[in-house]
Amino acid sequence: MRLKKLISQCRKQDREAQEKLYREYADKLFVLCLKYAGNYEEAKDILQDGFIKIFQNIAQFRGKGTFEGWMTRIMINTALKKYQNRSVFLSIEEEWVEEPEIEDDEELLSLNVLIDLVQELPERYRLVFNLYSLDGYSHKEIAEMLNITEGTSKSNLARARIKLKEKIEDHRTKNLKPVYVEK
Amino acid sequence: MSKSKKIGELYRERFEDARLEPPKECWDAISAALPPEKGQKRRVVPLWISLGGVAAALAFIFLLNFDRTNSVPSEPFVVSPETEKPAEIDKLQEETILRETEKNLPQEKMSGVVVSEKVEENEFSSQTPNSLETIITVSKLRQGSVMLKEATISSSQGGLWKTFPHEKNMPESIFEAKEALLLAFSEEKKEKEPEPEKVSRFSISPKAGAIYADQMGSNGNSPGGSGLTMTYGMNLEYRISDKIRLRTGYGKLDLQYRSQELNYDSAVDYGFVGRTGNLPRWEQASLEQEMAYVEIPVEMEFQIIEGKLGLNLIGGMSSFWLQENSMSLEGSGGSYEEGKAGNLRGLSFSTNLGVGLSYDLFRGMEWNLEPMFKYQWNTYTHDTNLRPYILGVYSGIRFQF
Repeated sequence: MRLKKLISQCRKQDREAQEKLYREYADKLFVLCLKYAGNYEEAKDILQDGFIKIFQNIAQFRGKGTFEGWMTRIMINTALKKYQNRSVFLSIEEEWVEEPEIEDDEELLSLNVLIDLVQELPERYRLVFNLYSLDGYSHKEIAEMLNITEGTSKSNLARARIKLKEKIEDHRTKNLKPVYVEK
Repeated sequence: MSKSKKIGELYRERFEDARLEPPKECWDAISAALPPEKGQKRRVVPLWISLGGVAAALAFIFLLNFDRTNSVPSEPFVVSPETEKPAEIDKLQEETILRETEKNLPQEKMSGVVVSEKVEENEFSSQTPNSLETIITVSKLRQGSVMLKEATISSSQGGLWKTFPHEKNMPESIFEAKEALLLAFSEEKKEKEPEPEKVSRFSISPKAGAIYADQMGSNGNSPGGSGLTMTYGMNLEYRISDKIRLRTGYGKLDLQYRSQELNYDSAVDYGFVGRTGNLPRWEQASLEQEMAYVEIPVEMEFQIIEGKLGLNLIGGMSSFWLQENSMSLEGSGGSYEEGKAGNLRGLSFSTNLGVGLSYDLFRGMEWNLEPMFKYQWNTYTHDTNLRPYILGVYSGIRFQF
């Protein structure tokens, strides 16, 4: 009920309501921006552009699905728009590679570390990995969104996983604590 | 005890319900970019500042167009390997690519890297209107080494689609090398992307109006009001911004004044020139005066209410070019005199103020109704306390093109 009222006030360009809505969702959406962006500054840009679009188009939200889902889609579209035109997607006929596994170490692989590592991926890998693995889009949907083929989407996902695994292992090697063995 | 997980699963778990506070300046930037709150007072910009701004904007647009016209490339688009070679290619020459590939490829073909780009919609080359071939040759590769024989890049429906032959057999470093090359070319591709569709800023409005002309003040013998007469013309408009339009045009204005029971004395100079007729010295006469002007307005429209039914505030000025000037006096006994008013200037001006109602009929077409007040000045050749004005209601259809 409170959200409905807030949306209604935002439609009237009520600045106080807009700020409340922003405070409510910015933290969560910023994580989304960070994982799609190449760095912190780009994530800030996506967040700002995305929220401006949200407030400009809030009248078009008809209540189909959740409001958070609607905002998430706008934010993802904003990120894709930013990188889509400058990303090169390679079409590679690769044999299917099984998704690699890694040792989960919560202390070593914190949220910030995982964000840093995914941001280091080339844009084309990062976009496909986020869309497929984290935001649940199918290869067919990704192909339409990025104007590529499903095969390209699959091959870029496979390479993204391999690259991420390499980066995680590299990070682990660099940050492993020395082990002392008592004699 | 750490557990083995798939990469996607690990990321999903960490990102689920994760929150990180964005920096404070984000909200400030968003807030500044949003339209002002409803009910917030808008600043009223003085007319002279607005007109100055319009003049500057028009000059800027003119200069931009002029510059664009002069900067059309006349030479076909060619990338020189020595001068335009991207940093990535330099890297290719020196690093792992060469080592990896020396052993795999025939010696006689090891002359360099050749990349051909075929672009269907070529905007740059006048010599090859349907295709553009850009060749980059890396000539400094060490003898006996090559890693890519050929890569063909083609564009399709706005997306970039790239294929490489024999991909599976290529070592990892070659794969990386191709990525670097493609990235270099994608920068070029970006520059060739079509511009977004331009929204037309010009419109024309044929219009007609009913006007009433009169003058404030009196000199005893001044004629009465004109009665209702018609005007017609055409406006050309340029939309400077979403809220502001600048317009000029052409209008034909016919004015008729008639005064009854005028005490006429032919010995007095009424500014009546070119007399012909037989009116006696003292006479009760009626005066009829006809004037025709061509009006050239320069006005600005400020949009106050936007929507299907819109409201605009209109301000500006008009120049009036005298085209016809005739007067006649008719006495009670059938006597008359004809001539023209000698105190009218050939060029006079008015300050205009009005409101415009608009109604969207179709896309790019709207109906207008504009009640206007025009206060005339510089009308008479000599000082007088007469201040002519025009009240008019104009209507027309605006076509955007």
